Amino acid sequence: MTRGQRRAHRRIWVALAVMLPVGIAAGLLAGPTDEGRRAHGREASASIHDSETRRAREAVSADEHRADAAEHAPNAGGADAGTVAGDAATGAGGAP
Amino acid sequence: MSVSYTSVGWNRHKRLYDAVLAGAVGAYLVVFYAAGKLFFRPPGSFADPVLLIRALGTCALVMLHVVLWIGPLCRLDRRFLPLLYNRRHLGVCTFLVGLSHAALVLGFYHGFGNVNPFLSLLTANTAYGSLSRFPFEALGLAALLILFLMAATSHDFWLANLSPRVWKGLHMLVYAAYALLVMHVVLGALQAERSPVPAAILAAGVMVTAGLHVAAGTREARTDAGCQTQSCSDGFVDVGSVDEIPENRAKAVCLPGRDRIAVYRYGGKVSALSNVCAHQGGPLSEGKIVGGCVTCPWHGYQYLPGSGRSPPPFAEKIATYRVRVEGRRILLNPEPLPAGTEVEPAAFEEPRA
Repeated sequence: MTRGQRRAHRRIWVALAVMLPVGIAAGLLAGPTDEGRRAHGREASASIHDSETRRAREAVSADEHRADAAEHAPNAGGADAGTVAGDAATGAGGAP
Repeated sequence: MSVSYTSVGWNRHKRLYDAVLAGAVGAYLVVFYAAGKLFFRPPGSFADPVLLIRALGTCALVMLHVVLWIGPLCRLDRRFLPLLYNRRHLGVCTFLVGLSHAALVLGFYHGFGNVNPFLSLLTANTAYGSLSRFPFEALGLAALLILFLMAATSHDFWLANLSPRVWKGLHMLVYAAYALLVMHVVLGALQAERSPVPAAILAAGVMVTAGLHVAAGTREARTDAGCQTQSCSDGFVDVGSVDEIPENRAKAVCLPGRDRIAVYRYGGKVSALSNVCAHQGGPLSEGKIVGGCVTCPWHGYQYLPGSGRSPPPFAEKIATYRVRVEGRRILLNPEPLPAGTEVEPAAFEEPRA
């Protein structure tokens, strides 16, 4: 490498050595909230338009889907109701 | 070296390198997948595609770290030089693994809606003002575009047509890609993590990468600053004794405000050449004479020590310098001659065995 290229490399990495840890710290301090987890994590993805379709393909197990859906369903309370709501949420569909 | 276009100049070393690389990538994906299945059981388990997305994403990030470590490691210790020989293969493979990660993400998270997946990716989340909800996908996409640009221009065909200076500048964008990918992970996957371990691993990777580069850069700067030469009246400078240079090896001469010069000793003669290889800027002073030619330690490009020209049929050439030996002291004129200029090597008496 030429002298100029060596100098450019050195300056870039001194800048990155300062900026990247600051970026990581800022991201971690501001980010890992429940809202963030819902937004980015395995429980949901903010980038997906169709939340029903998305939830059907998300990483949460089917049981967790059902429990979650049952909790929020208007008729929550019974095992059957939970199953029905879960099926609807996961797109599995079908009458009980 | 090649005078005509060939997609890849395969040899045994390259085949072995690529076989080890493919095996390592395959093994990483299998181990990650198996460990994911083993340690994350329901209800916290991941769906298979998500596990594969994470395996490919982490694999690409690990590979990019290795790519970035090779350069400074070679500057700090010559034993790492064999890794540099096919670094571009590792870089292209990193892009392909990253592309697989992106394709799977696009299909899995955006491919089942009624909106074009690319449009969905770019418009579903526009909370650029929020750290916790930042559309981290855009950072990954930008990094992938840079890696694509580098992979597409990695061949020597582009190096020759763009010129080494432009090519090197283009490929230094990898540092921007690295920064984008680190933030892609911090604002993406790490936002969902409750365990501090993934964040600690990423931070350690960043510290090692930046530390290696800063250490190598500091060492180079000290070498440049520590050069001491004695000027003579006729413009030549005393750059040391021939006895300091092993046979068929070179000494790097640093002169204030100038690029380094490689002073080679071979068969009772001394020649001085630019230290910068015409191919990728490799340090010629760290190479050796092979078959009568100065050979670059990075990719094996060769030059005749008396003229700085590659042996026919190759056409590369580098600057040469006037040199003479008085007693056993080497005197060098620091003004570079036009690339490829023939210079009579300075002869000296070899001590009798």
